[in-house]
Amino acid sequence: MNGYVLQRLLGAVPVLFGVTVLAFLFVRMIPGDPARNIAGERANEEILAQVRRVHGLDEPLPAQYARFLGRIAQGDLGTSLQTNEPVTREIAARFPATIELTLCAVLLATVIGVALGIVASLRPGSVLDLVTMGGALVGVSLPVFCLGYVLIIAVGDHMPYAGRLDEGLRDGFAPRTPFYLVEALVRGEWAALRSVVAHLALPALALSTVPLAVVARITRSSMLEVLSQDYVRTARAKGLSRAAVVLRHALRNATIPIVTVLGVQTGYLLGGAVLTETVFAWPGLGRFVVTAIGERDYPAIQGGVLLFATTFVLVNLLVDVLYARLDPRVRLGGTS
Amino acid sequence: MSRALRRAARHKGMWVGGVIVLVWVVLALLAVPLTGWSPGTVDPDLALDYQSLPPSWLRSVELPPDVEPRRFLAGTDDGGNDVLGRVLYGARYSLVIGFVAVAISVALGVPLGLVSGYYGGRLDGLIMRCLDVVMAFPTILLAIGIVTVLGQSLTNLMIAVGLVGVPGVARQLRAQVLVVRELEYVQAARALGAGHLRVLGLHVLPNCLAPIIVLATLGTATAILETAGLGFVGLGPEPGTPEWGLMISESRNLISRAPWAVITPGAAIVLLVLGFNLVGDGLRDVLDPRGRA
Repeated sequence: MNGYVLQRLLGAVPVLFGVTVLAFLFVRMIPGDPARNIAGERANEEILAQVRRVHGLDEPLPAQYARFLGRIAQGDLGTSLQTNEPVTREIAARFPATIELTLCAVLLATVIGVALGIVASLRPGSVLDLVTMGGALVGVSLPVFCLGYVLIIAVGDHMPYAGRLDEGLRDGFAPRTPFYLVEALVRGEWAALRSVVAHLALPALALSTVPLAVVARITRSSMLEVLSQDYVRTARAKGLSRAAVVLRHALRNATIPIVTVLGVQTGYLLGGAVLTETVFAWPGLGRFVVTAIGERDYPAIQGGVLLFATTFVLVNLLVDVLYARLDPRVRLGGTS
Repeated sequence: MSRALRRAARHKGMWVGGVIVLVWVVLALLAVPLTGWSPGTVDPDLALDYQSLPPSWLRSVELPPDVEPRRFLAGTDDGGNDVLGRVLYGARYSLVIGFVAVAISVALGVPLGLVSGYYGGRLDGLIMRCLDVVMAFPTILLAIGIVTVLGQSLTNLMIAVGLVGVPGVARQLRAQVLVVRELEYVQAARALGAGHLRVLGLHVLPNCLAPIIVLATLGTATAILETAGLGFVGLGPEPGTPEWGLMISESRNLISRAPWAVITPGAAIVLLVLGFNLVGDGLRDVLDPRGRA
């Protein structure tokens, strides 16, 4: 097991390396003078020369890249052009909001998606199956921002749909960390917790639809395959109840493809967060990057994109390890 | 083949999807004669009178006395445009961008997948690691990045959406090639002295056509969604263009006053994407019954 984890970790290194190369090249590939891109349209020659010196833009590309890597290693992603604050600080203030939103969406997608998939798989071809799978197909065809606005039109009068917390509660709760949900729970601030959950509900629901639909589809097909196997029939023949067979015997083996799909979907979720956060004025990293694009704030775009990609690689690493725990064939180098 | 045709004839979902797509193509072509709306037809002097009117079948608002009672089935937007007219006209953008983008994904992804799967070894490792790097970036951010680098235009939008789809096509095709290259008839062709190019083009590629067709259909659905997403964040066509994502973005501040201007283009995206997804799922069932998911 440890050998497998180590092997996967080593495999992620060149990918992460490639990610930094791409993020580095991104700012250099933007048409125009990179110094002007960094300093802004109104910078004069003197400032441009200074920017070139400070950022080492007069050096050859490989040297610039080495310097860029060195800075990342020290946790320096440059200074945001919009706020003049270090990009790392801007990100640290916003990424937790994105993490809370994404995790809630994953939770919704997994719980509801697996339940719907199981229900559909028990009676293939039934009306319930057709309705569930039809719904799942509509779910994968929904642009996340459309659903966001439909939710706002439908229940926007009763539910909060912007920000993370009621303004009135801000002073009383005074969050000390950017993880509002966890903090409200730990400190036992129930009024704040209710407000945080209410603010999370609509964006998390909107963000969860596509993964939910994908999970429901994969659960159904995976369950159908497992349910037709001999050991399931044996378990039934032994006199075990249907529920016990489905939940204890079948679902366990059916989880493997579900876990894999969830890993792939994190990439979608992080991207979907960009759009969801724009719709719901969610102060997360995705909205920050979109605003940065509008403002041509290149250091901020670079930092945000770098973090998104790194998160994706790490989550998939985690999924691979989890996969190996669930399925010994993988870590023993079997064919699966 | 005849068995596949029989399966196709019985596949209801695929037919429903096919009809949806076909209807959209017809509506896009006939948008102007059907609704009387085309870009620039709104008289700026009259725009205010026609601003944000509700759908004609709702008719909860009294029209100003000097406004002729034209029928706006889906209401009008902030600029006095017929929403239905813009949505039908906008189908042209989604369809054309979707098709061109998928063509780009396939044109680049297929050779990459073929070479990677067929030759294997170091070349395969190199190509796959590069694709891993590209896939690490959330697609919408990657597309945003490409549009930022290339500059904002309709052509670059298609290129961005197309490039983003390349890794998916290449990977799936590689998986198929890995299976096909081990088949006996491919081995036989090699043993008979056929060169690599001949084997790839005449023996491997034709046996990968089914997954390519499925990938292209499902890819069109994804491409339309991504185009709308880029339009929504303002990196699509220029402001005022009747592109669906942009329409939603431009009407979102009036959501409480004119929800129809947001819901109609939204529903259009869902319907068109659903059509392509139905056809794609159906084709997968028909062409490759083992690969059901």
